[in-house]
Amino acid sequence: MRIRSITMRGYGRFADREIHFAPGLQIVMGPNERGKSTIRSFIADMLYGQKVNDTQRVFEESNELRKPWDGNGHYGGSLVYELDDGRAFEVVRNFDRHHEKIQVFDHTTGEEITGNFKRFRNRELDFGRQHLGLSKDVFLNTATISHVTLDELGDREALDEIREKLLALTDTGGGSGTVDCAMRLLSERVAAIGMSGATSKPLAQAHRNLRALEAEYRSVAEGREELATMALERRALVERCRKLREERARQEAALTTLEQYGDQERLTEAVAMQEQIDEATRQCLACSHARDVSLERDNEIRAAREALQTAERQLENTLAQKESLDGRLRQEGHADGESPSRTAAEFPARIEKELSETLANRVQLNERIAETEALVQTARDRIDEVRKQLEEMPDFSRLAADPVEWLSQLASSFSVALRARDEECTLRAELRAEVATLEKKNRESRRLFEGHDDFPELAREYALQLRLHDSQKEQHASTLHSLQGTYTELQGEARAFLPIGGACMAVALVTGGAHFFASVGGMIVPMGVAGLVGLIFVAMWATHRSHMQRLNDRIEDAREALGSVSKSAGNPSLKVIDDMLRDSRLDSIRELEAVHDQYRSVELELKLRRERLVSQEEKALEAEERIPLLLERFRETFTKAGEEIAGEGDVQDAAGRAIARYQEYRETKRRATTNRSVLERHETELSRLKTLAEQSAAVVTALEEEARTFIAEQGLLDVDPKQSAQELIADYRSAMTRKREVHGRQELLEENLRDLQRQIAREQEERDARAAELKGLLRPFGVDSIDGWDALLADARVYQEAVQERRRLEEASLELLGTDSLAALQARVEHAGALGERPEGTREALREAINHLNEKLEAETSQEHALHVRLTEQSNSTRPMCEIEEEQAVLHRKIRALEAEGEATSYAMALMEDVARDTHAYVAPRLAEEASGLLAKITDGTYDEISLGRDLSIRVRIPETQHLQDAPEKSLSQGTVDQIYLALRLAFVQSLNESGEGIPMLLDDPFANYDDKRLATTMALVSGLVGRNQVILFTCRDDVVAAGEAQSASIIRL
Amino acid sequence: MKIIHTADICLDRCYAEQGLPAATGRANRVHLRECLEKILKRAQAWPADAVLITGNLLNGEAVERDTVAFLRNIFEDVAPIPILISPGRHDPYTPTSPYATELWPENVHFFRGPEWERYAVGTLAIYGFGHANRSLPKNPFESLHISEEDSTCIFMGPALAASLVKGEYTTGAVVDPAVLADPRIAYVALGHLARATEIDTGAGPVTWYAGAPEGARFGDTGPHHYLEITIADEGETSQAVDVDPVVTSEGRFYEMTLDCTDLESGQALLDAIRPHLAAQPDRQCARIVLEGALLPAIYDEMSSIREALSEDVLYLDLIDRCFVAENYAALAEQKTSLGAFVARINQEIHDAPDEHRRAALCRSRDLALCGYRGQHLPIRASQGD
Repeated sequence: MRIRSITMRGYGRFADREIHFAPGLQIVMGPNERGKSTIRSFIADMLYGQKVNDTQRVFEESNELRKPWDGNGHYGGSLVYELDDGRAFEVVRNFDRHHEKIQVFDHTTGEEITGNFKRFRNRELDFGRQHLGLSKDVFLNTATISHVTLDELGDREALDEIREKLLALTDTGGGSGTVDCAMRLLSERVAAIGMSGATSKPLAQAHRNLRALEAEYRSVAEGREELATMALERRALVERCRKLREERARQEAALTTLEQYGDQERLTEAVAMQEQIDEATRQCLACSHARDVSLERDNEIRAAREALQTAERQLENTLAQKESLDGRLRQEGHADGESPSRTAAEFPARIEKELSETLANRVQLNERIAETEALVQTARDRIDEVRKQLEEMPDFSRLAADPVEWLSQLASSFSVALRARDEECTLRAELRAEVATLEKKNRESRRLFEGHDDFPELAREYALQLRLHDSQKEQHASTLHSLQGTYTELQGEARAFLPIGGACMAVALVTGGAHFFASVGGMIVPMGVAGLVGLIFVAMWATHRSHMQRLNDRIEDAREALGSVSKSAGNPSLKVIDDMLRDSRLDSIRELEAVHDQYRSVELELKLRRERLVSQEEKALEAEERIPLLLERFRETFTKAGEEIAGEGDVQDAAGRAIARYQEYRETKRRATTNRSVLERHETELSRLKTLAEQSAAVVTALEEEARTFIAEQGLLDVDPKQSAQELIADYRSAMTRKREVHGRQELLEENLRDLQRQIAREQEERDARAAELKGLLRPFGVDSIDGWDALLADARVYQEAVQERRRLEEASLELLGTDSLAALQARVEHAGALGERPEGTREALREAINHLNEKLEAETSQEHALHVRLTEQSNSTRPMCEIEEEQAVLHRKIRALEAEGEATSYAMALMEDVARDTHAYVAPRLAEEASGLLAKITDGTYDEISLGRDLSIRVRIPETQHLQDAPEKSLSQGTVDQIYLALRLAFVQSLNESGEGIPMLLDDPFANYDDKRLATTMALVSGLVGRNQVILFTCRDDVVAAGEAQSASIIRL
Repeated sequence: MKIIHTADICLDRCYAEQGLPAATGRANRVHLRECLEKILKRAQAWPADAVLITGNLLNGEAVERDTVAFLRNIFEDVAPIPILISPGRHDPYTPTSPYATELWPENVHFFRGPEWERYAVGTLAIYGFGHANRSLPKNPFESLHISEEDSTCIFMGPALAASLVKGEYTTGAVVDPAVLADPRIAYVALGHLARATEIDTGAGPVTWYAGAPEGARFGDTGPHHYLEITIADEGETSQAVDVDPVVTSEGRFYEMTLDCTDLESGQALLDAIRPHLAAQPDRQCARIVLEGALLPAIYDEMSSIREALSEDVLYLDLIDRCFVAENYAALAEQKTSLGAFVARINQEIHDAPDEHRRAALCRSRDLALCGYRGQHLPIRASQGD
């Protein structure tokens, strides 16, 4: 196909603009924003329309974007194109969505052929696809080529991006993704369904839920069987209840019959009772005169009679008691009359009390006087004893005001002196030891370094000489090694030369011999040659030998020089160091210097120690001399205190003993003072006690006199002067006691007698009252005696009994009849008529049986009810089976749908993969071959091979290495990558050409990164394509235009 | 005499075969109860002299206890109107059947076996039989016997009219109009068919299937009935029988297929479906099968469409059998892997041995196209959740 012309009536910036495209390469040149993209878009829209897809009349955004700027109402245009077979067509469009119109005219015949083309659902015509053989997407993505920069693709993996684009073109025409992307989407779909067994996915979940439902169904089914069993059981219970009710009804009927029999019996009994009642009534009438006699009055009357009898008996007893008392009183009166009834006074208690107290006090005083005298004597004895002790002790009062403190200070000061001496001596000993140690430590070093105070300078010089020596030695050694190497080399060569030379000479001789002696022709030359060669080798060997000899001399010289290198030749100071090293058995001057440093350090320390030692010696000596002086002085002092000091170690102990002795002295003095004060106190007490004793004796005498006087005056006793006052008082008291006892008894009897008389009077009154009471009780009944009362009472009893009997019979009759009256019972019995056979058992037994049946019925009913409740609860606790079945059906359906979906997806994936593999396998080699050729042309042979794998992975043969490189962009320039991309795109378009109409290519400035040379080459290539494809190149660059002009391209300037 | 005749109610029916979820099934089962309640209330209000239920009152022995309690209550409520029940193949009178194990009100009578049993309702004798097992040992209609004292009678039971028998039918009762020649037979109440159907018996008695009072599956569109029968004596042994089918439901299930090829948007799809659902409020369970080419844009709206339609009905089964609207022929001509894929799968679709395989291949094609284009297509199994 070739686009001849376009007429843009109204399209973007263009209005009524017509452009004719030349055949071949057409360059449309214009700066940016001049409409190049608009023209390209117009061409595509004219061929394919502005719909999103074939099935919907939905416009792309370009429909709005490309509206005419000037708004002249015309939104559309026409395009004339020519097919490869020469037919020309014109398509006229109106893009306005409200006035959309498409017309196709055959330019050859001038006829409208719009109806010849299939119209899609989006109202587009199929002419573009039919004539070009490409869908809109494929056309847009293959026919339009822009430049590709690495910036767009990314700095790295540029060829991967190109590959992706190629894959997109190959797989979907470039409008959509690649097969790989599609496979990924579908794989995600499979994963989302859960075909792979993922437990969290819908399919697995559906299976899981289904299994759970099946388990629930089985469980419910089992429960149903149980329910059915329970239902049967309940039905059986209901049946049993029914039978129980029937039985109960039968029992109740029997009970009714028995009750009727009972009525008969009751009637008979009731009639008999009535007769008895009548008899009791007759008795009541006979004793009616005694009906008002209350039997309870009998008790009262009898009680009154008993009370009267009791009162009389009581009176008799009391009179008897009185008689007895009178007799006793007469007896006591006689006893009382024999004693003179003189009233004696009681002895005054005051005198007796004072007398006894005074006597007791006097006894206590005497005892205390004796004790006090003993204490006085004891105190005197103690005072004598203490005085003797003091005489035996030293007189500490003359030693010091405070002997204890004085003695302690002495002992302490001596201890301090001793301690100071010991410390000084100890320090001295330590210093001596340190000095000895340091001297011993430095002995060897001193021997080594003594006399060599300049050792540091010697060491420095020695080190310097040593370095010089080492350098020389190294140099000589290197020379020697080199010479030896050369010698060895020469030797090796020489070894080879001689045999070769010998052999050649031998050959010469042989050939010579053969020529001269055997007249063999043609030996001159070999002889000459062999001889010459032999001579040469021999000469070489000789030369080598001479050289070797010289080398040997030089080697000797070098050895000699090496051996002569000495560190210390002719330098006495260095010899010193060497001697030191030898003596010290050290290996290096560094070690020697270290030893010297240590020696110096020790010497310094030793010096310090010695100075300290001298000072310490003086201190120690002084401390030692002070001790004996102190000791002598203390001895004198302690002697005064009565202590002897054995030695310097005894000073502390002597001080302690002296202090103890002083304390003892002090205690004794204190005791003496105490005893004297005690003596004084006791003597004072003794005097006082004696005075009190005299006073007490006087008081006793007075009281005794007073007591004797009193007793004599009372006349109850005779006073004996020989008796003591106390004895007299005791006798007086006894006599008084006896007198009081007699009087007491008499008074008591008289009192009792008076009481009895009063009691007799009361009892007489009581008796009279009881008699009157009895009479009063009997009078209402018309009797005046107890006997009359008894007779009346008997009648009353008879009456009462009859009444009671009648009442009892009446109650029994009532009880027997119950709520019935006798007449009613008679009527009922008559109504019942003849009764049938009497049921067995008693009414009670029947009632009990009925109760038992009721209980059983209640139990069965309760059981049935409980079973009913259980049935209801159990059936309510499970879901209906139909619901479970419904849920299972839903799940089955879902599983089927998911599995079908998964299978459809998997099948689609397998087919897509298969198709893609075939497509890629077909496309890749062709594309690679075509692209390689184009690339070679573009790059002028620099890059001539592109390889495409089955997955369209791109490899390029690198000229430097001639290897096909997988990631060539790493070593390729941006421009080269662009060219590879261009080559591949052009090759792709060529591949489409093979099977269809030639495709017009719309190139949008694809040469951005091309240099001049490549631009020219590419332009030549592009112009070479025009034989098959129309090429319309849009550019804003003058160099591209120039290159195009060089290729005789037609230029349209916007 | 006024009789109400119904059958095949199948309380506690399971809707697993219809693919209904448990919640919808539950609602439908409640609805069945309401249908029966409605019939019995009418019986009470009319009032009917008897209610005949010819077979399959219950859906098998796996009936819930509260369903039995419900039945007991509503039967008791209409007492003393007798409720005569012929157990059918799905609810035979077995020893473990609720009919046998539960306590029923006095006005409920079961025909317990395949032998004819007489039940008198005033002067009307009702002869009935029932299944004691899923299959009958013999055809009861082969041994009809009417008592001498009966002047008017009704026969009832679950049976298949002879004219409807296809092939060999040995498990149930078959009624042949020729057998029903006795003029004392005023009415034959049958059960077994889903729709109220009169059987042509020629000169024989009026014979009807009451049909189920409510549909049971998506194919059961259209109204459902129960029958009100009025029997008036016209002579000693002749009667005037008037049968009035009364609509209990316009049809709870509804099904339709829609070709989506020309639909431009999701709204258009909604507009195409909604009028059908709105036409009858009874249509609470709807199955809509979408076929043809569906635009990808509509696919994207499918969940919203489903949600919008679900507001109109109790249950919506939206089955997507569409394929993505594409110019597959044009795609097949592309010289790309996509084109080669479409060409190949188009051929496989063309050569598909059956519809199932064809549909699977179409789906594979749609999935691949979306994959190539990097587009998303909803997973089909998620629809209807």
